[in-house]
Amino acid sequence: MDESAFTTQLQHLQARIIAGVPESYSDAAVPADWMVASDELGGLSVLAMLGQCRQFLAYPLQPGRLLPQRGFPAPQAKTVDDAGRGWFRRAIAEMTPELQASWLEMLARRGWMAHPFDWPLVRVPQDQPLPAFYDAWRGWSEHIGEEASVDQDFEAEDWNVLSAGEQRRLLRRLRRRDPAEGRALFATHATALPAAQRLSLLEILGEGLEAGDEGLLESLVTDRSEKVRQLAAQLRARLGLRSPLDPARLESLQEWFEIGRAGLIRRRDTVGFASLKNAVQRRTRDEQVTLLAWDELATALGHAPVELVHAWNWNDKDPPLPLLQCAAASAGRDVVLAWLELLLFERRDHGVDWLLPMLSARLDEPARISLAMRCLHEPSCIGSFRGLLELAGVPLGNLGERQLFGSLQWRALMAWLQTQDGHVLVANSSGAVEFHALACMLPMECAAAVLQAVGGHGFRAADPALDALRLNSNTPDVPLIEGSQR
Amino acid sequence: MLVALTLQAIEAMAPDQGALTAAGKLRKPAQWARLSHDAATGTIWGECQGSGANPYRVVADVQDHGYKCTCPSRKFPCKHSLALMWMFVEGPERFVAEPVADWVGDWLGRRRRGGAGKPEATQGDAPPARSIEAATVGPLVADTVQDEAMRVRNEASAAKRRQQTDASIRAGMDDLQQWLSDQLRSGMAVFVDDAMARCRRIAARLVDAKAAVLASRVDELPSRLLAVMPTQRPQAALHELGQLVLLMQAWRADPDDPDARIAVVQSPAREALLADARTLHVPGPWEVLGTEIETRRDGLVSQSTWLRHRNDAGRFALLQDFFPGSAGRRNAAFSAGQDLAATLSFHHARHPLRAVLNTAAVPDEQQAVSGAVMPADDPLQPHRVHLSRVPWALRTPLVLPAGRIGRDSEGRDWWLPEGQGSALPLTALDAEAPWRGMDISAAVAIWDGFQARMLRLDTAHGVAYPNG
Repeated sequence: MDESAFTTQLQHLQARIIAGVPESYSDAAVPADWMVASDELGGLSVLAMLGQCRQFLAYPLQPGRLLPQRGFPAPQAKTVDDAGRGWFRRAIAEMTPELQASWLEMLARRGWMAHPFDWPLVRVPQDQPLPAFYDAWRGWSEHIGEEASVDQDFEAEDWNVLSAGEQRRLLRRLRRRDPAEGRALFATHATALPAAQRLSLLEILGEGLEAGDEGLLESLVTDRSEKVRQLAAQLRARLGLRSPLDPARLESLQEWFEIGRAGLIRRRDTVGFASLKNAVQRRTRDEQVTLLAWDELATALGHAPVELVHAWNWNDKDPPLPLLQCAAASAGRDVVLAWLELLLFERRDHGVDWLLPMLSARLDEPARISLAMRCLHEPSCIGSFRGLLELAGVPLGNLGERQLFGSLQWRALMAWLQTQDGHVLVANSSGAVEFHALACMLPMECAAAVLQAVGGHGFRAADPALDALRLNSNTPDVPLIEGSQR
Repeated sequence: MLVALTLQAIEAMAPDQGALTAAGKLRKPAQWARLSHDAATGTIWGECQGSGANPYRVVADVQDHGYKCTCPSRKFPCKHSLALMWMFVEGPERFVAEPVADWVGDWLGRRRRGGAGKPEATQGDAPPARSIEAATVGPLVADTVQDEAMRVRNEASAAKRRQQTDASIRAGMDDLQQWLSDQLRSGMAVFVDDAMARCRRIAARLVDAKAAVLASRVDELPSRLLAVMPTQRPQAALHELGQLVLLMQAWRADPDDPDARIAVVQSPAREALLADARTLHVPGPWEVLGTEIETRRDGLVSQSTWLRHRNDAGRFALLQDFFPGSAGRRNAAFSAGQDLAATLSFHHARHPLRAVLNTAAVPDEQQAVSGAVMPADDPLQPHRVHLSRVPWALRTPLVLPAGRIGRDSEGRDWWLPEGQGSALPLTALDAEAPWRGMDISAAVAIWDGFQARMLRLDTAHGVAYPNG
């Protein structure tokens, strides 16, 4: 019997066994040799031989369409080596997405990135920025399960085949490389996109706003989406471009605010919220104020932009949230700085710490670092290293050991350790977050000094909460791979 | 409160005299693969070979007397923890100073010092209820008084028990044959739809017949069927039931056949295996490929650790342990990628695969460097060789050639070899793992006749252990 006939016979036999064998097999159904080999078990022997035969002769049935998965992009920088990966994996698994982003930023500034196998541990949402090293990996994650068809090293001309996330990353990359190039990309493609996508792209443009954007923003003031129009107006306001309020808006504004005078020796003007009748009115006021351009608001209330910050009447119990959000969205740098000074160092009990990163994000990196460094020694509302990291948004590259160990936050951390009887392990506790934040912000030598210092405070050398600091202290600056972009 | 570790403190900690006595017997160096300490953390740890294939990991704090052991004992501290501390008090020089091992670090990371294992207040006149002296003298006396007559009686009764067991199993096999004929008559398609209930019934009968391993295999059969694609389940059922027929025939032909006995009744005890002259002992270095931990329908947890010889890419070993699910979650004894300079003792078999750990030590650098995977021309050939020797074999380690991971139109993972080779279906892989999109120069997988479970992947970025 030839092979194909034998195979066909086996298939028929298998079909019969799957369907059920009510009586004995007919001779024709079973290969002749098998009937000889069958003993008193009869049909069961045939079952056994068929099962074995299929295993020996048959290969798994090949599906019609089998495609390799999209290739994982090569790392754009030196990856954390095997010695450090244990620390990296334990540390990043314990971090919040925000801390993870800071942690990867710190490594990227030294020329390092995560090992590819550790990428699944990174849980930073797609709309939150990561160092440009990771753009390609993020793109790969978005296309898991897809075949290798889309070019992963995409440029502006690939726009139409990119996902929304990839379009955002491309715009961010081009904007960093050349603001005009990013602006041109937006102007070319944004009008064809849905409102939500236009809005998110406009937010990216807002990260590196410059005078050259005026024309583009002007065109967006008449956009068909109200949210895009509002954001464009806020961005214009940041550039100092004025759009006077209409009389109706001006009138309602004056109803929402109470203008008075305070002080016995030095009389000064004050501004506070007027008492409104109900929560609906208050909510309407808050929403409207948030969307105003700061400079127009100040003018309407009879103040210069920075003066309005100092004129606020703090007799109100609640902090002026709508004003702060308005300032974060549309005020100039000097107004933002004035608010931060006030909230960080003067009105420290405001209870809106979560708003500080929104405000500080409007400042450039040196200004943010300068504020964070001041918070180390001046009494401020920032009592933790995590708060400092959120304020600065970037590592404090010039921080010295003496500054660190003399800081208020360090004393607070050590005091907390004292309350833990000196023997507790900080992993899985609130203290662990502080050490992770330190690892994200300290220079290498400083991280090593912290490791040495905490040893004298009853710390166990093996405490996993210190893993990130260990990796920091073992990660020197290395040159970037040629052609890569941090 | 920190108290120096003394024999009195160990006495006070022991839950009962039995634990101390058992701990006393564990002080032999041969029982311990590793004894280490770290002065900075005041920690001692070791790996004690118990009755299972994997050693128990024991760690203790010599300052506050906290302890942890991976054994399933419900005594706290268990005999292993007591033995570790006891040995440290008697001979600290036997403990090698070294950095804290990862698993010890994990334990340190989870514990709070000072609360655990505080010595009881036994400082008064009354002596402790548990005595180190009694623990050491008692067993020695008992060991030296060997009653020859008792030994002969024990052997005779063991032989009689074995005869009774075999007779019982033969009766169970008759029932299994009838059951298999019933399934054949109704057809595999019907069987697949009702496999859970049908298998449960015959498995219960096999348990009564003392064919414990076979019963467990039948009980787990539906789970194995569910793991393959629905369209392949009737074929898989055909194969599985055919294997049961072959195992049944083998048992009837020779109940003493080691392969058949291990698949029907039980594996020989560790002590018997080590004492057996036929036992194959293979020294390391071994590479840990991964551990599968599965909770079975009978309530036991099965822990299967796959190893591959570093210098003989075709030699694999399986360490298998079972413990009750009620004993709680138990971590794998080894981590994937770990090197073991251990000797493995293989169960006597035509295709030696299952083994127990004989000794363990840290390998030196030279031993650990080699390890390239050598793929075969036909990756399924080892499975066929395995089946030709043990026709009821369920799983075979394979070395796969260079290739990539691919998907079919239904989203199922496949191994796509470079060139002309045939693709192999895979068990579902981590959806976000980057090696899905990497060129893989070679791989190791476990083949169950229908699909492969990836254990090791060699990529340009290093070795990945999907099951680690």
